[in-house]
Amino acid sequence: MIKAENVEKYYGKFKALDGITFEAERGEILGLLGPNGAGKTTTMRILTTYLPPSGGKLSVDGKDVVKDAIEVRKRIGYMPENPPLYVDMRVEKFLKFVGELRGLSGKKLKERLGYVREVCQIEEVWHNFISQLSKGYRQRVGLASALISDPPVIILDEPTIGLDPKQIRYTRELIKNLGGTHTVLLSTHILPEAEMTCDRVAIIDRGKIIAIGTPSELAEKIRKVNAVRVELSGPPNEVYKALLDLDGVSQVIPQERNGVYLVQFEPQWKTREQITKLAAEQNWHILELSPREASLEEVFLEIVAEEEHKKTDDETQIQKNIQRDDTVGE
Amino acid sequence: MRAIWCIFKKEIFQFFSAPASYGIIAVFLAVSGFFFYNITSYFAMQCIQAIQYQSSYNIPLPPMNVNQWVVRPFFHNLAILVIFLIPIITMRSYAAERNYGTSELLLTSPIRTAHLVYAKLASGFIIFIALIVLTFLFQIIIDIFTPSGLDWGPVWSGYLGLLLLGLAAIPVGQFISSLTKNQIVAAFMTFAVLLILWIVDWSTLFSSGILSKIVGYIGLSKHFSNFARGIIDTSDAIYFASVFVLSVFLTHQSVQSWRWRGA
Ligand SMILES: Nc1ncnc2c1ncn2[C@@H]1O[C@H](COP(=O)(O)OP(=O)(O)O)[C@@H](O)[C@H]1O
Ligand SMILES: [Mg+2]
Repeated sequence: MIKAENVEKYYGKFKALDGITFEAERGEILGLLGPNGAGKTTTMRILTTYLPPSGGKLSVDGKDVVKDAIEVRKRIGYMPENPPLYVDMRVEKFLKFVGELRGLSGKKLKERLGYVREVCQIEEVWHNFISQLSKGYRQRVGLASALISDPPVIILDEPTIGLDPKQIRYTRELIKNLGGTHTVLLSTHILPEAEMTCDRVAIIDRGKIIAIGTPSELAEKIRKVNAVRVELSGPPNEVYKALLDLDGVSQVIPQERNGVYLVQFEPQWKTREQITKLAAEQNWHILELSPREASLEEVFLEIVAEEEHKKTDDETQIQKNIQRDDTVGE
Repeated sequence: MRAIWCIFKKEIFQFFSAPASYGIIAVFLAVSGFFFYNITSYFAMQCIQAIQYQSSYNIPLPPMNVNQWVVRPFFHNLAILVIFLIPIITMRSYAAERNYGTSELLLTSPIRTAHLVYAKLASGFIIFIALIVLTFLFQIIIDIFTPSGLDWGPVWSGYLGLLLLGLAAIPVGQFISSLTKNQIVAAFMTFAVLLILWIVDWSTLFSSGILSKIVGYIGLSKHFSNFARGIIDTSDAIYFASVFVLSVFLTHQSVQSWRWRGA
């Protein structure tokens, strides 16, 4: 549905996008995850035809972003980072305007107004002037304006920024529900958000996509320290000793529940097979034996750190560290 | 067409829902009313003097011409007022959209840039015409109090002149508004440009030659005063039309260039 191939963007001499390539299938929720200044907004602005690309090819539903801009715009509902709103209008009037601008009228318009009013939870402020709304409500009116014409592709730039925790949870749920019937591209610098809401995540840093995949695929990529979570039905002490005695095991760490251990081992050893054999010999049942999932947060930090090693520019290093601090806490 | 109508409605709504707009209308009417009062009372004084002159020397004088004494100067004053008014009407048209980021909404909506430009022009004219129509009240007052009645020909041509003045000046103002994010800057720049266009041909009063001819043609006031005098000349109409076409074209280019300038 969305196709970006080798997209480049220069702001003057500054290269903001350096060969971005990704694809989003129909019905998929794709996340663009990256620190501030990575190029998320720029990518979205090019995709929505707001900015022209300096190089590369982009298409939405097979329509070229440059040659067929109007057709592309018809298919996209877009919420920019700071939702553009006419503050001198009331919420209803504004959404009606956006609906009409996107070709809705009559019964259909009424129906969609009713839908976004409910689903974006803006009933209480429906007749208020936008100038009087809080940041959270403005964000929701922005979301409503992206959804009003029920476009097949929805592009949301940092949709949960400025919301309180309850609203964040609700908005993420709402985005998840859009998936399947809509293709959603959303950007965020918050890792858990990408992990929770997206089918696939593209990690973007300094105008480049440095990794793309499902959250678990990305986790797989860096699972360098091999570890498994194990629970065997034997007496905990014996199990502990037996696990520690296996070849290649470096550490056995008791977990939150009694009898569950995290077994770390050197990669060349087939520890899982050894554990299965051990259980069979001792006549214990295997209650749990699962590779430990690395969280996307670890993946993200790992990949960004790797990239960083290649650079020696002190200033960007410092900047990055600051931005990384931002991203850890939500 | 749908998009033009939709944006047109929005513009009209925004103008008439802003309290400041009624302030503008009130000031416009107050100032034009003041001009009207001054002109008519001066005319009345002249009439009284003429009557006294006539009775003391007993010479018949030609009748005083109300068109020459009231209508024509009133249109000139209105034109000056319009030069102040138009920057205020046009200043926000594009500058505010960019300042508040709503340009991003408009430019990612499935509409053509040209339609946006037409909608803004149309709404600008309608607001301008609505204000100008209010001054018609003064013409009616003159007509009622002139025993011989008003010669309506020059009145209509005066209004045609004002209309053409607006037709040329509004696109100029909107073009300038598209160049900046700051409404106040847009207003001052528009005012400066219109004022220069208005007075530029004064510089050619005492000189001749090809350059002064060109400068003379560029000047707004001469083209307008022909209309105020009741002379409808195609060369004046062509002048207004050229300013219109050029500014509309430049506005379109300027809005397109927002994309390239990334704002
Ligand atoms: N209009 C612009 N002019 C110049 N540089 C810009 C402009 N917009 C963004 N940039 C730069 O491009 C880079 C990417 O910005 P952006 O796409 O906004 O990143 P993100 O949305 O990921 O935070 C940043 O370094 C930013 O400073
Ligand atoms: Mg951004």
